[in-house]
Formats: sequence, structure tokens, C-alpha cells
Amino acid sequence: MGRPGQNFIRNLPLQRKLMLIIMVCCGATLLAASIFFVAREAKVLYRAQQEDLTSLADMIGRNAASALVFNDPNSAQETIKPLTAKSSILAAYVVSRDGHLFARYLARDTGGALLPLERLPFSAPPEAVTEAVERIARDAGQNSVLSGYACLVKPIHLDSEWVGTVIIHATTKGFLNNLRGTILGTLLFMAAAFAAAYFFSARLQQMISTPLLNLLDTMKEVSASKNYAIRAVKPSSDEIGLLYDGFNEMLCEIEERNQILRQRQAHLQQLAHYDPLTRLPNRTLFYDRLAQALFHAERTRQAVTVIFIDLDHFKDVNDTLGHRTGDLLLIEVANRLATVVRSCDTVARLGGDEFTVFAQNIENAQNAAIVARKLNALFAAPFHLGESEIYVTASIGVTLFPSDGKSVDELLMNADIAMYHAKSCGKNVYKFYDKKMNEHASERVTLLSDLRLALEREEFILHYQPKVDLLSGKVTSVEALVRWMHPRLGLLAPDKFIRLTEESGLIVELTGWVMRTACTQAKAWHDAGLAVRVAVNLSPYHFQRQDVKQAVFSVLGATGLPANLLEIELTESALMQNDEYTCRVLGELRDMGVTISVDDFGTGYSSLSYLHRFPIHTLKIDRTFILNMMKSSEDQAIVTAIIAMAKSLNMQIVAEGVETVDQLERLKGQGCHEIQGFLVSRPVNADHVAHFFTDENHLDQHNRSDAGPGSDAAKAMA
Amino acid sequence: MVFNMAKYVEWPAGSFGSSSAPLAVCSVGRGPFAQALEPYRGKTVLGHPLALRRLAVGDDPADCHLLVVSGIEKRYLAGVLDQARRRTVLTVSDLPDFARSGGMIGLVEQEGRIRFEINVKAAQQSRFKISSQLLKLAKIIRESD
Repeated sequence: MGRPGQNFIRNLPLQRKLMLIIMVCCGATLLAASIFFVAREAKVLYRAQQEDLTSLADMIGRNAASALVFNDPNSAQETIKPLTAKSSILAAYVVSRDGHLFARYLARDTGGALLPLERLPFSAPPEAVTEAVERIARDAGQNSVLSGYACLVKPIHLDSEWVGTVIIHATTKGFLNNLRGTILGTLLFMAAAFAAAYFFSARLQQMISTPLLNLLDTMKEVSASKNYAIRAVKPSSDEIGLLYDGFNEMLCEIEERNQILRQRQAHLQQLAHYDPLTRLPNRTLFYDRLAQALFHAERTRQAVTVIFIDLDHFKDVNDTLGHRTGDLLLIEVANRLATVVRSCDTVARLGGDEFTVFAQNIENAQNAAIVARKLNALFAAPFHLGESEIYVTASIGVTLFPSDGKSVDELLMNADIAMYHAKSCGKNVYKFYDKKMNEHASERVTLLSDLRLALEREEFILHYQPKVDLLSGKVTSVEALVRWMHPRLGLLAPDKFIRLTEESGLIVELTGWVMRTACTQAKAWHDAGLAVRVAVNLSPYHFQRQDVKQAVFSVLGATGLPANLLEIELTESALMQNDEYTCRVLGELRDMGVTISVDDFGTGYSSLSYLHRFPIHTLKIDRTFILNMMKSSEDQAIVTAIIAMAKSLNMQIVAEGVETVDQLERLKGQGCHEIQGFLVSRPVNADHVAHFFTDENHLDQHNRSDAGPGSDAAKAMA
Repeated sequence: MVFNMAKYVEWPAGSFGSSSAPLAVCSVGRGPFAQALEPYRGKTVLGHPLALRRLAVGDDPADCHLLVVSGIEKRYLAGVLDQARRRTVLTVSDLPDFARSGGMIGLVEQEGRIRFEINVKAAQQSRFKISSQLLKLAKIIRESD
């Protein structure tokens, strides 16, 4: 670092610094000007004094010349005499050419100064006088201030001939007094000017310092209050104004960024605690709130109900109408749910189509039931999703704190179990949790682990159900239906385990096994001269995986079954999802000779206008329509419509679940092509079904016996 | 003495042909005063070089600007002065009572020093102007005294 004073100046407040600069400049200028002025004045005064003395010496010289020439000291003395009147003259001498003190005048009071010629006697030797004169001449003008007197030595000429010398000593008191006065005046002027400069600089520096200090104050205020909306008011358009602009721009920027930051924080908060789709609290927030509610309820000994809501067939909606519509449905459901609960209650979306609700201060189970019923009622009205209008139901599981669980996890798990129970009880209902349900749920878990082993242990078997032509009464094809020969539970129908295989992903392997087995069987029949087509159900899962074609290829290749003896059955929802791929692959399969059927037609949400775009051979009318056809005119109308439409699209019509001769006759009358159901045969093993591969009319047979072998027990296994 | 004195005297207009015309100093008589002029021969007075000339008593001091009278008998003095008066010549002498006798400047010894006696009237009659510097050192003589 530099000198110590440098830091001091550097750290001086701005106002002081500015004033210091102004004052230093002012002071230096004033000082220089004053010194110049005083020096000039001194010079003028000195010159005036010297001129004064010179003229005096001239006069004396001129008057004393004749006296010198004619050696008349008295006359010379007379000449000098008038000087006595002049108080400033201390002494005057006339020295002759040959060095004699010719005339002398001495003032009475020399002011204490010792004059060089004063000591000399009048009759001093000429050499001493000459030397003294020379010395005086040398020193003249040099020491007038120091010695207190001024000297002037002037030679006397007569007709350009040197005849003597005049020496005058004069007091410098007047000169010094004048000079002193000048200096004093200058100092006074300097002081006044300095004071004025101080006064003006104190005001002028504010032009610079005030806006800067104001800016500083604003900055302090902003930094103290963190209020970035504050703006500094620009005082001018100079560099300081630019500084203000820059400062304000920076504040603006900070404010904007702050705002963005806050928005992002809020957004993150929202993301962390809320479901972005429905804007309902998410799992995290729900757990948190429920935990608090439980804590509170425990202290106040109040009941809390935790309700689990799962939409029925949501997957189908997603698959058939698209995920966008599925999302719209979820949003609409969320909106409806929010209308039921009180402000102290919480509705949350745990994920997928699972919603949860908890309600505090529930006195008893009756009140919880009221809530559940209200929730159920929400699904009575159709949902308007874009252009579609659909009915969606929900299965609801209800638990109560503290009886059904003490913790959040326990309550939710039990509510989930209750919901599953509700779903298995026909859907669109609510169920209270019961401890027995837990056993059922654990059964499900056991079943899942059994399922994984079932393929290895070859516990699956295929049953076949024939489809019969209504006109000829002959078997056209058989549908391969999978059964699980469970070692403990016995023979299980697909509805007991297909959902599980789909959830666990085992469906791929299972379907592969089914196709292989069915095709091998069909090939065997073919080789035995029984050319009958075998139909295999494909899960929508396959169409998601986009490996349908490969699967079919490899099976046909492996078994050597002609393609025209294979039929693919798929549901409406499988048809509608990923329709571009589905349409293409189905077209390729059809070109190979494979028959394409749509299973359970009428239950999905397929748009009929779509249908003609797919390469479909056959529509299979869902069993529920056939079942209710005789009782409900609406269902009858649907069946009629489907048949009419299929005919106009050149599709085969198969009626599923035909159990009675009445149904058979009615369908026949409508122009249905084929039937499938207990009226002909329930699903049976390969050996049994082979008995149907004859030329006889299987319908006649049933017509005769009238009542089919269909029974409730067999029906449940379909 | 005469040399220096000449510097304080103004000759009437037209006495000199030019500003550098010689100042003719003539001497009459054989007095020591006349002898003392010799060393000043050739020197200039107010631009005029000195020209020394000896005159005998009775000679007309024509062309003389200054006439030094020294060591002549008293009986010739009147004649010399008379001649000089006609020719407008400044007369200087160390003869006693010279000024009182009608001469213009007389030199007298007084307390060991040479002093002047100036007959102002005589000088004025011959239209000479004698400087006050000289007059203040001199004793003014009137002929009637």
C-alpha cells in the first residue's frame, strides 16, 4: 500500500473527499496567485523606492557637481541639506573623485541600523572611503530588507566626466510597511476566498454526492427490506443518471428472477404435494394430512374414515378412447369428488385411477356410509369427455379409524382391500372393511405366487367350446379357453386369474402357451382329417407390445398348422388401442389366411364408424345382450342393430352365451350366422370336443332334447 | 579651473560656427593662471575642443570666446576689458578686484581655496548666461561697490 495518508483519503466519505479536492485546488490556486501578487507588489514597491532614491541622487549629484568641481564642500553640504526634511533618508554622502568624503548628511535617528560610512571619520584616507563605496555599491539592492535600509550609489558626471559619487541610505520602513500591508491584505483576501470556496464547494459537491448518497440509501433500503420493487428516482441524465438506470434495471432483473424463482418454488411445491393432472393432493400430502388428522383424532377420541376409490374399467376407457380422454375422465372425477367432501376433509389421487378420501369427525359407521353413498352417487351421471359421453362406475372401500387400523398405512391398505372386495362384488358399490377380507386378500397374494409356478408345473389346460353354424348346425370352429388346474383350489376359470396374469406380466407367457397348445391340437386334428379352426384369445397386452405378428408366425411355423385353421379373438379395447398398428397387423394376419374375430362386442366403447376400417371377419355379440335379449327390448334392439350392421359390413356374426332354444330361434330369425354357448356345449377338453366334428346337425340334437346341458355351475366356469 | 568654469557658461547664440567648433581660449599676460591652461589643450567642453591662443596686450581678442587675463599691469586692464567687451568674450582673471573693475569672473583665494567673484551685470551686458550652479558658489560683484 502507499502512504498512510492515501488510505485515509481513500476511505474518506464521498462528500469530504469532494470538498477536499475542491478546497485543495482552490487553496493551491489562491496561494499561487497570492504569491505572484505579493511578489509583483514587492517588486513594484521596491522599484518605486529605488526610483525615488535615484531621482534624489540625481538631484543631489547635479547640484553637487559644481561644488565638487570647484572643491566647495560647504556648498555641497548646502546641497544635501534639503534632505533633512525627508524622513526616510537615513544618510547621504557625496564622495569626491579622489576619494574624499566631500559632504555628508546623517539623520538624527538612523533607526538602529549601522551604516557603513557612518563610522568613517570625515578625514578618512581616500583608499578606505573608495573601498567602502565599492562595497556599498556591490551590496546595494541585495540586503535592503535584511539590513533594514536601502542603498543607492550614483556616480556624478559633469559633461560626461566622472567627478564624484552620491551615496544615499534610506530606511525601508515604508517599503516594508507597504509590503506588510500587501501581504496582510492578500492573506485576508485568501481567507475570504477560501471561506467562499468552502461555502460554495459544500453546496456544489452536493450536485455529485447527493444523488450518489440517495442511491446508496435506496440500495441499503432494498438490501434491508429485500423489497426489489423499490426504484430509485433518477435525478439527472448524466452518468449518475445512467448509474440510476443501471441500478433500476438490475433491480428489475432481480425482481423478475425472484418472481420466476418464487413461481418455480411454488411449482415445485405443487409438484411435490399435488397431482399435476387433477390438482388434488398427491400421496405424500395425503399421507401427511391423514397422519395429522389421526394424531388429532386420537387425542379428541374421534373417528376418521378413510375411503379408497378405484374406477371400474378405467383401463378400458384408456385403451379404447385414448389416454387423453382417460385424463379428462380423471380430472372430471376429481372435480366431482371435491364437491362431496367438507373443507376439513381431503381428497387425493394416489396414482392411476385410485383416489382416496378421508373425513374427520365421523361419529360412527353410519356417517361414513353416508359419505360412501354420496361418493357412489357421483358416478350416476354420465361423464362428458370431449365428444364422448360415458358412464363410469367406481368401487369404493371404506375403513374407520381407529377400529380398522391405527396407522395411515394400515388404514389405506385395508381400504384398498375393501375396495377390491367391492370390485369383486360386482363393482359400482362400496364395502366396509371386514377382517375376513384380509384373508381373501392374502389368498390373492398366494394365488399370484402359485401362478408363477403354474406354467413350470404345467398346471394350465385348454378347454374348447365349439361354434356352430345356425343353418347347417355344423361346427365351424372351436374357441380355446384356458383353465388352471390349481393343486389346492381345483379347476379355476380365467376370471379368477387372468387379471393377475395381466398385472404380473405372465400373460405373455400364458398366451404363448395357449397358442402353442391350441395350434398343436388343431394340427393334430388336421392330420387326423378333422379340419377345424381353432380360436385363440389375444390380450390387449400383446397389441401394446406390438409383437402379435411375430407370436403368430412363430407358432404357425413351430406347429405347421395352416394359417386358415387359426382364428384370433381380440376384445374391442384391444382393437381400439394403438389402432394404426392393430389395423396394419390384423391386415397382414388376414392376408396370411388367419381369421379375425372381435370378442365380447358391445361392451366396449368402440365407435362403430371405426369398425369398417379394420380387417375383421367376425363379430361376437357379448353374452350379456344374449342373456337379456328375451327380457329387455333394448338389448334385443342392440342385438338386432349389431347383426344388421355386421351384415352390411359383410361380417360374420357369432352370438355368445346362447343357452336356450328361444334364444337360438330368435337369433336365427334375426339372421345371426353362428352361435356359441351351453346350448351346444360348454367348454370341454380336446377329446370331448372332437366328438362334435361330425357332419350331424348339432342344433337338431339340442332342439330335440330342448334343454341344454347348461347349468349354473358350468356357466360360472365359462 | 577655467576649463571647468566654461562648462557652466552659456555663450550668446552664434558664438560658435557649429556644435563642434573649437572653443577659443585666449590668454593675455604671463601670470601662472594662464600657464595652468596648458594641460587642458585639446580637451572638449560641452562638445567644443579647447583651442589655446596667446595674445599680447593690445591685441584684439577677435575670434576668442574666453579671455584669461593674468599677470598684466593694472593700467592695461581697462584697455583689455574694453576690447573684450566689444568682442563678446568671457573674461576671467586672477587679478584682484577683477570683477569689480569690469571683468566678468574673478578668481580669488580665500581660506586656501579658489573662490569666484562674478560681475553678473558685465556678463549680462555681453549676453553671457552663467549657470546658477556656478553662481551659488560665487560672490556676486556689482561695479558700483
